[in-house]
Amino acid sequence: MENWLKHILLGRRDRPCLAAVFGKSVVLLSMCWTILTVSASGVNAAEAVDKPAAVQVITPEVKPREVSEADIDDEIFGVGVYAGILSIDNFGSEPVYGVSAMFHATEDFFLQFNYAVSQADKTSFEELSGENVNLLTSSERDYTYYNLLLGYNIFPGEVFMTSKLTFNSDFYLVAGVGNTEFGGEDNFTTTLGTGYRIVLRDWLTWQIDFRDHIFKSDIIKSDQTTHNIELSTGVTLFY
Amino acid sequence: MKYLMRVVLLLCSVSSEVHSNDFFDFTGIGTADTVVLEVAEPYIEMHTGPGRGYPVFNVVEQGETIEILKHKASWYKIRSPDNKTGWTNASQLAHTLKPTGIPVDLPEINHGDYLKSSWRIGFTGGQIEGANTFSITAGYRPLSWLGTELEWGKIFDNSVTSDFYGVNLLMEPKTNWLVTPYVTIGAGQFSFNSRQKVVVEDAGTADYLSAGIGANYYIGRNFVMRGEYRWYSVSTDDDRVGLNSWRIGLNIFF
Repeated sequence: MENWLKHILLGRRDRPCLAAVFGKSVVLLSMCWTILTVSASGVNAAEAVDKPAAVQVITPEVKPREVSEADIDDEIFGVGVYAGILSIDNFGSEPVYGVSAMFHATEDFFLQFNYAVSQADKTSFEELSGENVNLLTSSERDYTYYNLLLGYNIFPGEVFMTSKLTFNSDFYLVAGVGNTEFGGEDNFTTTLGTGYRIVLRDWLTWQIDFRDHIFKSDIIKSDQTTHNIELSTGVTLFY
Repeated sequence: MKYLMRVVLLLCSVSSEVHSNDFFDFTGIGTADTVVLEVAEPYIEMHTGPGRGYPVFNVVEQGETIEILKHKASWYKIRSPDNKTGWTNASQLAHTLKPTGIPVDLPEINHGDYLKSSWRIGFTGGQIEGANTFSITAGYRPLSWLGTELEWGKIFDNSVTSDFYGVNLLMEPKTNWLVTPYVTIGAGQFSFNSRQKVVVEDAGTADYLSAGIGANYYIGRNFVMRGEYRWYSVSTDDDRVGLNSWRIGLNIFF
């Protein structure tokens, strides 16, 4: 086609005539236009073959979708159980059992409610003084606490159990207030602690907690600040 | 052809969206359907965990589709086309499109939601005349400027402890400010318990009326901090006693 075009363009150059050149150009342009439109329609035709086919495939499939973004499952509420050792100031160390409820507010902060029970043993004074000396009655030895804590995930991380098995983890700090019923009295209690959580599954975590429950007590001496150290471990289920 | 491939890809994603997370089938909690989105940005990053500290281990490129499995705070667990699961931040998902081509609208909580939302729960800690106190509150706001609240708490004095429960009315006229001042009035009852060392015959109960001023401060997501001064008028046998009190607290709205 190129040679043919050259022939038209170059072969006629020896007889220049404005009208003829104009006329030839019109012919040439119209030919080019024809070629272009034919080739373009060819392309369109090829696409046109594809397009209706695609539409035919889509049409029966497109339906109003029921799923909305608000339906995305979240796991921010959790309930848990824990058990451990509570060192009741002046009264020895005893087992403690508790339940907890958690709310993950952000990736950094969480709220936690805890309720736990334990029972105090005898003080060393009572032990040494013989059978008849009892500072507290049996029911007064029940140690029950609840608290509301604010937690902060200070060191998020990962645990590499084996080369194939990895779990996410968090080292966190907690602080809060609550009530401790001990010695037949309610005591305003401040709780501070740290903990380590391993995320076994998105819905299941295992944690170890170290907490100090601080309150003022008059049982042994007047206005004594007691530190009741708790070391516990438990699991939390998220839903 | 590119258009056709995209359509095919979307069709595949539509058919695959009914796959629920295997993991969740095991638990029985399961999600029946998941949201499928197309990546509109050059790429989005997948982290190993739901937090900024977790490393990026995978990227999903523009035009590819992702399946959203769940979310935790501002992080979303997604499945990439090569069947990897990881976590991506909400800000990254803002650059994705729904199969209809509409930009995605993910549930995000902001200050506006606090103003709209009706329910809230919270706790406070503070002092009444030098005695420690804490309380738990549950509130409902029927009008934008008026809320009601139930409160239960404890007071720990040297000689007595007290439970108290009451109803508060909160008027919060300027809710569009970041710090929203409010006025509160309330009524309730103290229920006293004598401490072990103090022998008091029948510590009993006492009714109270209260009035206070305070402010709420929106600290992010669905958290609001609260600070309040409150004056109690407590009816005793033959007189009324005034008590000063302050408290700070945290409210979660939803």
